[in-house]
Amino acid sequence: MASVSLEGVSKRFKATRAVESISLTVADGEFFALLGPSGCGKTTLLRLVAGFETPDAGTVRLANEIVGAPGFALPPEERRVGMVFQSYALWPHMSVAENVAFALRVRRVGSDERRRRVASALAMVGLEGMAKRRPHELSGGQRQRVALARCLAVRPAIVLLDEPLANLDVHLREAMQQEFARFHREIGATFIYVTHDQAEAMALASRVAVMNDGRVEQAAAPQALYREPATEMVARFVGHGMVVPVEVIGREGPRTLVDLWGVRIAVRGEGNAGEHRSLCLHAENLVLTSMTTAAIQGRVVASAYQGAATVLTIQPNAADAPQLRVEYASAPPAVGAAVAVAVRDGFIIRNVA
Amino acid sequence: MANAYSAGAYSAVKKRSSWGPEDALIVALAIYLVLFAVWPLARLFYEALLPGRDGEVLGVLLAQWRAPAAQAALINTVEASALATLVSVAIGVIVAFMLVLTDIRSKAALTFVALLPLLVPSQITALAWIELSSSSMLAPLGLAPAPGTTNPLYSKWGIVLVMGIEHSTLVFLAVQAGLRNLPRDLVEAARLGGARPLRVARSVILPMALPAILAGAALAFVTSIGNFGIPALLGIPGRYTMLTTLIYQHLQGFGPRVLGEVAALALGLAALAVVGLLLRSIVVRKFMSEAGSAPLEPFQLGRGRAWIEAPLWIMLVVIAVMPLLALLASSFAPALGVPLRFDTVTLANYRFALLEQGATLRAFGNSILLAFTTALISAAVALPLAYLATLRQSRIARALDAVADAPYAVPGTVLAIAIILVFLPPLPLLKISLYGTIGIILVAYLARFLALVLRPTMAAMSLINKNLDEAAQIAGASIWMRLRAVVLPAVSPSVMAGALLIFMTALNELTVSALLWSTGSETLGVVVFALQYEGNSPAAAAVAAISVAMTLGLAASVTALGRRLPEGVVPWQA
Repeated sequence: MASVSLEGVSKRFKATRAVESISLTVADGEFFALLGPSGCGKTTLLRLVAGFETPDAGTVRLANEIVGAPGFALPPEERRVGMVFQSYALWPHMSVAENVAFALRVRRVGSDERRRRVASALAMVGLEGMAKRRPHELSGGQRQRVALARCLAVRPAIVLLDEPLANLDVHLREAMQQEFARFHREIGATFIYVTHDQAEAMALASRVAVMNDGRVEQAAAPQALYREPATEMVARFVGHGMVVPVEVIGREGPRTLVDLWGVRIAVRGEGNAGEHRSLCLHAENLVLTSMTTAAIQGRVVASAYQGAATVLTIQPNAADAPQLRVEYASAPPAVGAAVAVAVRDGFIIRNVA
Repeated sequence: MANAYSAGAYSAVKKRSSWGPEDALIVALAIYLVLFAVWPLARLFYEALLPGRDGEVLGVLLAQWRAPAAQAALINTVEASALATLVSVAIGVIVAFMLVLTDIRSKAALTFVALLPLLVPSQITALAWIELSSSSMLAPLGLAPAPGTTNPLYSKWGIVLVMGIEHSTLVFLAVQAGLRNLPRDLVEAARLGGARPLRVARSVILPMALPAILAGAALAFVTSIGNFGIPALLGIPGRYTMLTTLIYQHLQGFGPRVLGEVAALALGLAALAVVGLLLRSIVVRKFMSEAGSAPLEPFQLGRGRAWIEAPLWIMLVVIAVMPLLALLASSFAPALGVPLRFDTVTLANYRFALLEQGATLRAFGNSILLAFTTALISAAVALPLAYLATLRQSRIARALDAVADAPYAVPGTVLAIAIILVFLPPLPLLKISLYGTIGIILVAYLARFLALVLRPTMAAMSLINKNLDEAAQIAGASIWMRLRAVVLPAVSPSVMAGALLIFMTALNELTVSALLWSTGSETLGVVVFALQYEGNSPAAAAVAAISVAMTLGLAASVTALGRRLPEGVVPWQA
């Protein structure tokens, strides 16, 4: 039972509120991601779980035991969690094998058992032949694997990962993502993964908490974050959502009818007639159409070729309207051309704007 | 039920963790620094600021400073130090400009010679100059003083010359660092504007190097104020008294009962030093820029190069090498004034100093023991202190780190008086006084030299990623294990260099031990001083020659470590 649960946790650094009254529970064996822009408090939250910071308010529980509360933090060395740092934090004066063996030596694991576990941890990350190397002789990806092996060798029930892939190039990042998913399946520990990359969080985690300004905006499965964002920030941060103002007209079957710049559209989400709300749109919900009614009239202001599709930026004619992004597969209209956009789907964000 | 269980676990853990080993370590370090640094210096202030016997406010201070002798010593100190600083600036600036800005050859050898005075302790420099000025080496030049006349170095101008040369290295190092940080494009812009090298040096480089020159000058001035070895060897026989020698003579003459009065004099000395250091910190903070772009391209001297190189070599050899050769020659001479020839070379002085005089051999033992113990303990204190101040970001540790500078920044004489004030009374519980034992010298050295190992350790520690320590913490390692297995291996070259620096400095220390020694606890510095004072200068030269040899050997080992150290750790490798 290695669940992690936070209850009303706050942490300030001088004037800045790094973490503000956060309550979260991560179930035993779950792969959980903390996602947010830099400075949103996600790393502070992870460090509160690791024991490097003491909360100013609230409690931190590991496996139902209180390990952090105001004025008290069980030191990290007694929490028995594993952690992978963004900088990898490999000890430069130790070989790969010594790095991996260090925690086992601290825990007085016998030398035969130690050797076996170091070998199996290195085998697991595919670095069998590298045991004698020093960290500076390894590539970035290899160092990342050593850091992971070092963390896995102690068989922790909770693994904390602080932006582990941020220093790797794009190709390595994708390969390592698959590795992380495999390790999680194989060892069954609780993973808490901090990242600012929404695609990474969505690909890996079964649940993601989106953080902003020290608060959790929404904690949900990736599909829910994408399809049913709770706040405008989540809508914009996850999947490049667009947020536009609408007025609710009424229900139409399972859908809700709204007015967007004088165009009636049916979308998902709840709302009462007459309410002014925000609507989340994704590029794939929008299509160019030849209709002149029931479509948003606008003008192409930019066009970016992206291989499979061209992303068009369209400025609607309505006053003060934000720009829309539309994916277009065939030969796109020229910049400056007048176009009409039909809205196929959207989600009414719960919070009243 | 679950809540009750959790609450129980929480309070049980809370009891255990509210007072961690880290807190205990901070408290221990705080006690160490308060005991050795804060309390003695505060006590000095207190004694010096006491009311006089008749209850006059600041009576002690006023009574001391009303005395003509004190006022004369103050004037002499400021005058000689200021003039010596001018000498230091002249030498330091010339050498630094030549070495950095021109393409003269064998720069490494020139730098080594220019920095020799830094490695030779000041009482030995003074002794070497005495030997040089009275030696037969000068006879062919017609410069040797006539027999029977007083040596001209026993005067204000002697002190100014020798002190100026001794501290020229401080200006040289400051200016060298300043010139290396000058942005190259500014010089290139001036040259594109049509200025010739000499014009560029005068109109662009010199004004921009001025803050560095001022900073080096302030440091040379403060060091001159606190210097004891040179005024002691040149000023006491020449009846030119400076504050350090006045305090020394007071305490020698009247013993610890005049401590309060001496403290008042020491406070004046400390105030002078603080003014100098404040000036320096203002200059450094306001005008010194961080490392600039690419370093300056040296000016091509062309065919005139030899005409620059030769005078530079001659000057450096005369001021740095000749005195040491005279010292060596004197140590092999059969008696004072006898010319050294192949048939008169003798080891008698070495034999006398090492074998026949118990004090000298004892002094070697004492100084080595003191230097070794001070280096070891200071390194052991600096490691956790720097760790807590940087990697753990403890505010208390950072304050302690700043405090550790004070006993090194004040003149050694001031620190010695402060230490006597606190450690003269018998220690509580033990009922014995450290005064009159080697213990009080050790205490003073521990206070004075901690900064020498703390600076390089802090520099190295601030380059370590905090995560390395945190990763070991996550792995379950206690603070002791982390210090040993993770932190120490990462900073050991710097700690080692700092410890060697302490060993070198403490081995030849005179200023502090001159006030604290007693029979049985003589140091090498004291013995050289005493032998010379007694008129046995060949024996003094022999002892000095051995300590210079030891110092140069140690300097070589620090230099060997130098390649593995962060920039600025080894003072002579700026």
